[in-house]
Amino acid sequence: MLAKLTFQNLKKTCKNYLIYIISITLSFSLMFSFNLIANAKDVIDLSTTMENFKATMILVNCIILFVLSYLINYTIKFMFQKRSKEFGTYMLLGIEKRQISKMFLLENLLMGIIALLFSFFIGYIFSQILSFIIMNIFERPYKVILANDLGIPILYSIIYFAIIYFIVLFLTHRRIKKTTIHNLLNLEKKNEERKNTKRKYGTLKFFFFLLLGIIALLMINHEFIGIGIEPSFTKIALASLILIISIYGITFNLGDTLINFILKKDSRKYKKNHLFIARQFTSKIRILSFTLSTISLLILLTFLSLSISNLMNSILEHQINLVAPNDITIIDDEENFPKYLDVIHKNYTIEEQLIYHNYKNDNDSIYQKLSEEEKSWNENDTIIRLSDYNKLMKMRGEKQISLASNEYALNVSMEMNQILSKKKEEIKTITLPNQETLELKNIFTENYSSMYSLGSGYLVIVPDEKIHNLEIEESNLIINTVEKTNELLENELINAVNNELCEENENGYTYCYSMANISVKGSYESRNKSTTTILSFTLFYLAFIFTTVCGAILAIQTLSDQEKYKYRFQVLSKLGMEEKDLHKSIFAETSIFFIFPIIYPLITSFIINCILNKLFKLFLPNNHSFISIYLSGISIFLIIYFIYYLATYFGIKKNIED
Amino acid sequence: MKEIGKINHLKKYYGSKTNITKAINDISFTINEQEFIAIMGASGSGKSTLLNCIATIDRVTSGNIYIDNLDITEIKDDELALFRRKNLGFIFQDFNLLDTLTIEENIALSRVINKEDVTKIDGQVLEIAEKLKIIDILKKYPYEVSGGQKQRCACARALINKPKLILADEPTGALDSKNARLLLETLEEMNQNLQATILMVTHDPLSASFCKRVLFLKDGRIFNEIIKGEKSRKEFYNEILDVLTLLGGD
Repeated sequence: MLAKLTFQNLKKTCKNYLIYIISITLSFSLMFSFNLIANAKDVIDLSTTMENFKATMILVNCIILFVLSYLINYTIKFMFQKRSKEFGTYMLLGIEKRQISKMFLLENLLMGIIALLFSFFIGYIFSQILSFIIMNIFERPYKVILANDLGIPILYSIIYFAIIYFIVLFLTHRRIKKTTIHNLLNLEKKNEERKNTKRKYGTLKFFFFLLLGIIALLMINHEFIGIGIEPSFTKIALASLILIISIYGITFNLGDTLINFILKKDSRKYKKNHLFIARQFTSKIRILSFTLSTISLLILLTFLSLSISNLMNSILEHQINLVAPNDITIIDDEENFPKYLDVIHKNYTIEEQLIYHNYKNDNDSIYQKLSEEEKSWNENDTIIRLSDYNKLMKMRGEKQISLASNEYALNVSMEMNQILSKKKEEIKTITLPNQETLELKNIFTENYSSMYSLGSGYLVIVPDEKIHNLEIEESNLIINTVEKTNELLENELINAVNNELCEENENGYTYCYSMANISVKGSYESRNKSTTTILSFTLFYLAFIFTTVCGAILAIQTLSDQEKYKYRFQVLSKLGMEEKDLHKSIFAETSIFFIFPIIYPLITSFIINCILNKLFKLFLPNNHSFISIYLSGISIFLIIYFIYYLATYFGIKKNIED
Repeated sequence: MKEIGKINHLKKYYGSKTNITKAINDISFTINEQEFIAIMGASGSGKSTLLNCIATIDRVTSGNIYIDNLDITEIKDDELALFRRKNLGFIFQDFNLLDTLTIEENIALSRVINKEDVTKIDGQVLEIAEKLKIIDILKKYPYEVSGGQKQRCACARALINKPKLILADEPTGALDSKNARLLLETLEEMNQNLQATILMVTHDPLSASFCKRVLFLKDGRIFNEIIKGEKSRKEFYNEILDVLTLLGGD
């Protein structure tokens, strides 16, 4: 008999909570597909750094485990409340609490198992799409992940599922054990009181928490001053804590602030559906303040994950030019260059080639004018002939520069630009060993590469005829190839010349360093691809699950109130409200409910991105690039969230029209 | 007395061709201004269907319903809402108040829907609340007041638009006897002092005895009609009981 009841209830629940079931199925599917990808040999073999993917995934799974438990626990608690009368009746009929609990737990477990089973199929399809994207990033032919990779991910999914359901079902069982018939039958009335209880000093508290939020953002702003200046962990943690408190505080008090504002003036109060919608919304926030605050917090984390992952990708992309300006850059003794060229010739066609020298000026250097923190390991200024510099620019297809015979120019990094701009007076002239002086024409950052300046942060460009007085510091071999370079070439080049410097440390281990400085664009690109893949895939994974959880909770909340909606609209309809106005108010109510939790995260995350931009703009194409990066990042969230909104809105509309 | 409503050969059938339920089977009567009419009958006699048809919530199968010489069975669907809010007031058994609004706002809602001048609404609410003696509870929420007070709030909401006809569906159904009597006195006062025309569906003889005229329905037809006239309420009550006995009881 109880089995039959459980089964029938399950059927009913599946219908009522379809969005929830779809959400957990999708979440489990994503979990499965990401674990499948992170454990797939083909993916790990793509690059040496891809091993980190697996480790990152375990960490991320722990967070996901926590968030999914929250969603499932929330929904089960919610279902229990909604069905409190039904359970009360069972108890009145004499069914034991233990049995009711067993029935309810079984019903939920079965629902979970259905979701889990489906997730293996859907997750497998997802994983194929993901692996297709990854293979595309690495420009490798797409390969189907073989079934022999499935075992471990399935096991992972089952373990995670077991942990989540163990926690959630344990909590539910305890909750049922504690309830009494009286509680169950009066649960709805209790909610009724809560939703209309006004909070004291709501508006005042609202502005206080708003102030706290501003303080937190100012603190964060104060900590991120510049590159290389480490923010204090304690202060950032404190600021985050204050920000979280402010999110909760604002959500808790917004309802009363809003209603006070609307009720203040009759013209506002009685205009259109204002009063009705405001009251509906306020009562909803009052009951759901904690849930809505948590959703806001999750959305803030989602926005930050998405925008930061996007920001980092843009930075990495931009960084390649800094470390690998040409296909191959080799700094070594000139006598070794033929050996390198032999290696390159074997697999590549050389398109362009340049050998040039860097010089040093022992007489007077910019290096001496830098403070201790500003100095790099390279104790000499790196000097280049104007014609060589222009040849380099020509190879990259960039603009060439010109200098008068008594002028010099500085090509500097963004960071060094900030330092040297303040020292313009001191570096106005440099004196060459023959006492000739050169005047500074300009300092510019365009096309700067650390490979050109041997890591010092600045490259001194002088007219060709002034170079004869200077000593050669390094020789450079710059090559552009017709074919795209790859990781392997870098290793081959390192091994081509056996000029390693090996030393033994105190533990008896031998360490070898290559004397040559070799940079192959393809190798950096491949490393970047791994970082990009790991970073954006994991953050996207987190963001997607967070979004699903938020969307599902809001949808469940709204859709389960359908009966109330129906009743309300019946009353309004009898009172003569027109259908057009009824639809408008359903639309307004659902929209406000979905928009509300994203407002604060949207503002906060944008400000945090502005703060980060202060730091990272040096590595981005321009000062405003971050805005488009931010928007494209959060758009993924907005799309998924919008789907939940549409499903909810049309669900309610259909129900009321029926 | 001016006639404000006329029900003419009204029929309402439910079901398919093979199994027709004649909920209302050819009913005709008139409603005069400032009347207080009760419609009585057993469950399934068609009284609620009749009320729903007059309320424009349900469509008729045939026949006409005239309110103020306008045949409401001819009104298009999208104009019904406008008709309802301009001409009809409602009082329901389960109050139908919105739980998120205060009593004051529940009463005002009717005016807001009617798109009235917003500056006058508060004054009108106060005026009607004073008449119905609910001024003390205006700031409270429905869950904080008694059933009787809720129903008086519903009366205020029905009255505030000054409708041509107030339709009451078992208004005392959810009230205890004391509150029921208080409400009936309120309705009587609304009828006598505030010139409200009321059509009430009830199966409670005591409620019906407060009215000026009682129509008895049986199997979708008018079975009998009695008028209070100069009779005392007690006498009228006994007369109603007699008809009910004849009708076969409720």
